[in-house]
Amino acid sequence: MTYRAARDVRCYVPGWPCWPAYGVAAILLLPLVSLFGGEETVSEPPVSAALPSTAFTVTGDRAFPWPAFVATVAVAAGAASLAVLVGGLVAVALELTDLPARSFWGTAMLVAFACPSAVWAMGQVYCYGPSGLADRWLGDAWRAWLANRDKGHYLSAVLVLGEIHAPLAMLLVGRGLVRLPQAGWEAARLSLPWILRWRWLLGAVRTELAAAWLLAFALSAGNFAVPHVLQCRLFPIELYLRLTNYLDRLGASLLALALLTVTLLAAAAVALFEGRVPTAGGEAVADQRESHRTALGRYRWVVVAALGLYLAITVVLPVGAMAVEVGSVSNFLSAVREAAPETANTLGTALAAASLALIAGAIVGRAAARKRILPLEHAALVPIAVPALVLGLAYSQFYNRAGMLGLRWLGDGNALIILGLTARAWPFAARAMMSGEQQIAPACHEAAWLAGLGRARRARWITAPLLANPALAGGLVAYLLTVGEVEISQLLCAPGRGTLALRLFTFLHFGPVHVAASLALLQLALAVLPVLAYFLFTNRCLAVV
Amino acid sequence: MSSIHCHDLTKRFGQLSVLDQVCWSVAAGQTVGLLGGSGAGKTTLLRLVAGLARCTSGTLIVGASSADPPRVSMVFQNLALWPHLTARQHLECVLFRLPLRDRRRRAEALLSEARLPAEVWRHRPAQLSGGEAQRLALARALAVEPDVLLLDEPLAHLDPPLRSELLQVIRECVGSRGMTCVFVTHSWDEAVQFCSRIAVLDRGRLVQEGSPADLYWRPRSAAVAHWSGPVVQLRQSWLTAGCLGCAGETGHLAITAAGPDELLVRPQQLTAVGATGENRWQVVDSRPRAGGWWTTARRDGNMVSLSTPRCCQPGEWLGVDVGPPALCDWAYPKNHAVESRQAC
Repeated sequence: MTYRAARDVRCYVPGWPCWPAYGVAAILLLPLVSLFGGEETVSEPPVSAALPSTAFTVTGDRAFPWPAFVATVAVAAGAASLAVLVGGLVAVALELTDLPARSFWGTAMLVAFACPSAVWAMGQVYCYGPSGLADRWLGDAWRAWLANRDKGHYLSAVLVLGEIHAPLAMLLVGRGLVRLPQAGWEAARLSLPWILRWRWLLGAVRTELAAAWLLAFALSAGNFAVPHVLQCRLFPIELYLRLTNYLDRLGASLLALALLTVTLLAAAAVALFEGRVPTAGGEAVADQRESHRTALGRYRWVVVAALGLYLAITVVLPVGAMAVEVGSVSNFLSAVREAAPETANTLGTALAAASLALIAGAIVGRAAARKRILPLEHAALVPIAVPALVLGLAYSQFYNRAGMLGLRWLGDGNALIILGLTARAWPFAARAMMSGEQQIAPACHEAAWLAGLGRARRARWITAPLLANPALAGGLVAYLLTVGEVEISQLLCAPGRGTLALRLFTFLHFGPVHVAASLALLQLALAVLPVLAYFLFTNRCLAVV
Repeated sequence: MSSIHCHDLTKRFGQLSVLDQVCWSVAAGQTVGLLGGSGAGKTTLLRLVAGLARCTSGTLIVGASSADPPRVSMVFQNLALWPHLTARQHLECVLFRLPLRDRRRRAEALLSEARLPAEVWRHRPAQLSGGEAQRLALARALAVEPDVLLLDEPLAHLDPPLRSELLQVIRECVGSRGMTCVFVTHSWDEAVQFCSRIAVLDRGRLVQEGSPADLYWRPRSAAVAHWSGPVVQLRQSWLTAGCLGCAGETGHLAITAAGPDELLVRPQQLTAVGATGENRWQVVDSRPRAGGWWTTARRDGNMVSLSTPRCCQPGEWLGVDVGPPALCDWAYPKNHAVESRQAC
């Protein structure tokens, strides 16, 4: 090609180069290679007190825990199915009907997603567990019946994990439902009987349903906090025990690889489905939705009652039960006062990690959305499924290795935990930025370039305002994930720099119940208040998945 | 003012060739129309000229000298307005080089020139009607004082009255500046009203370029004939069988051949006469149009449409004479496509 004269030096180059995105993804995922390493050769103790020294490693002949592995897959599949069922139905009610106070219901549903898993599970235990609120109100006659049917607490784990991931499914299926006007929803409504209409609807959003199921499956399989609180011996618990109780790092790595394989396979399948979903490409689809809503008529209050009942059972009563366990305001204030250093440390690390995750997510997400390169898009999605426990283990092994780039000093302060939390949260921020970037028509950038705006002016006047909301959503999700993180805190926290999640974890086992409940409420407030503020100021849904 | 020269310009997306060795020139200050169907490569050619894409091979020269780089501006097909900015902010953003006070004054002048009502200057694109959004896009494109203005189907999705009104606005804005302008459209009428030269693209190739009269009376192919105004398809056998009267030599009647036995003529070449002998056609319907009536007649299952000075009643018999192309007479009827659907 020959461009002569002035056009030779002025040709539009969309987006940024890809190599920073690949670089960021590689740096944050590189520690996972330590899971493939052989026996540790470090003789001195690691920097983190939470990490067992390899000098005491016991490498027994413990067999692969197949029962726990199978149970985990089954529980995760059950939880994912429940999440998709609940989340899908709520998404249909919110997106396709004239349900009153839709933004309230949408926000209330998101509490489960915003709340740290451990706190959520504690609330359920305080409400429906032995001597819980339900026992106090209804008596404990039904408990024996339930205990017989829920040996090993697998059913409880399915229910709680399903509740936690239902909002995720709601967001994903909701995104598919937004596209229905283009897919011919109005024609289907007019021409098909209701049963065929439902079949048409399921077909129209099947990619989102599949993606939601797989994502919920991957996240459930890797969840450590819920089975830990519910005392359900799933695979992440086996991994944790192998690491901390048996001090078998090699065995833990092997189990981590098995868990990672399952979750990554699910995430890869999600990526496959995601590739088939068309993007909005800057079209204003949201404005068209109002005219496509189905009038619920006299069923409106049935749907409202069903939603209210669900939220009462899953959110209001468990939070109420936690408040009951606290006992009094003075108990709560006392627990909060004592946890002030951990609270400050938690907020500091969470904000730092969320900021870094947002930067990393912006670099990867924007490049993936603008360039439409498949490996880059997958690089922004697949790491979502890396379980936090596996990530923490990989980071602890990678950065505690002798001579490993001389980076062991990272573990002396908050740097390592911030890095670990960043690695956990950045894929979610990247998804939010990708979603935001896909909503901007490329012609908007091209028009700005043709108007003579330089790169800096384009970024300031066009790109930044248009990406502000996705960035806010991505930052918020990153903050939510980091503020209540238990697994990475346990494995990467430096001595004397505990986090709120770690303190709660300790009091859950060894402390008075009212302190644990107070700390859980504090964590819930730290997580949920920013979500409410986000909705108050932006009045829109979290476009993260 | 800047000129545009393309030589063997080729653009491929993978194996798909969108533009194939296009040789094309636009003189400085000229207004040229680019006509063609969907997927013909019009928008791609425009994007190459704008610098929004790079060609696979060939030469593209925009501007006369590298010392004075040409300013190229474009009105996008989807307008590409910035959803977070108001109409006035759109222009103030583009006029960033001016001092703040001049910026506002100039923005308002441009918005007035594009005939955008003052009460919508504070509106965002989502609050503007289709016509207002088009005017804003035009004003934004003009704000950079371009040497080359590219208009990518700027009147698409507008109703006919608004289209005529906006075309008038564009003509005034472009005419007063004397800039080089490329106007991409599907519509022959818009191209004729706006452009002094028209190029027809077909499947990535530039098949013909010339004045509107050239394209109308001397199309090089059936595709160009169809793009450059209404055509009537006749059969050579009808002439030999006497089903059509012939005024002149039969070998020079058609503007172009569509097939072995098929001729394409313009409606002006057909004249309604009294039915005689084999030349008997029965009227199917007759509809009013600019300068007369558009009458459709049938004979043995074959149909012809021609312009008649009066309304013919369905069932009425008439004869059809074919005359030679009126090369000297550029009698293209304006607004011929705007047909009323009233029954006669």
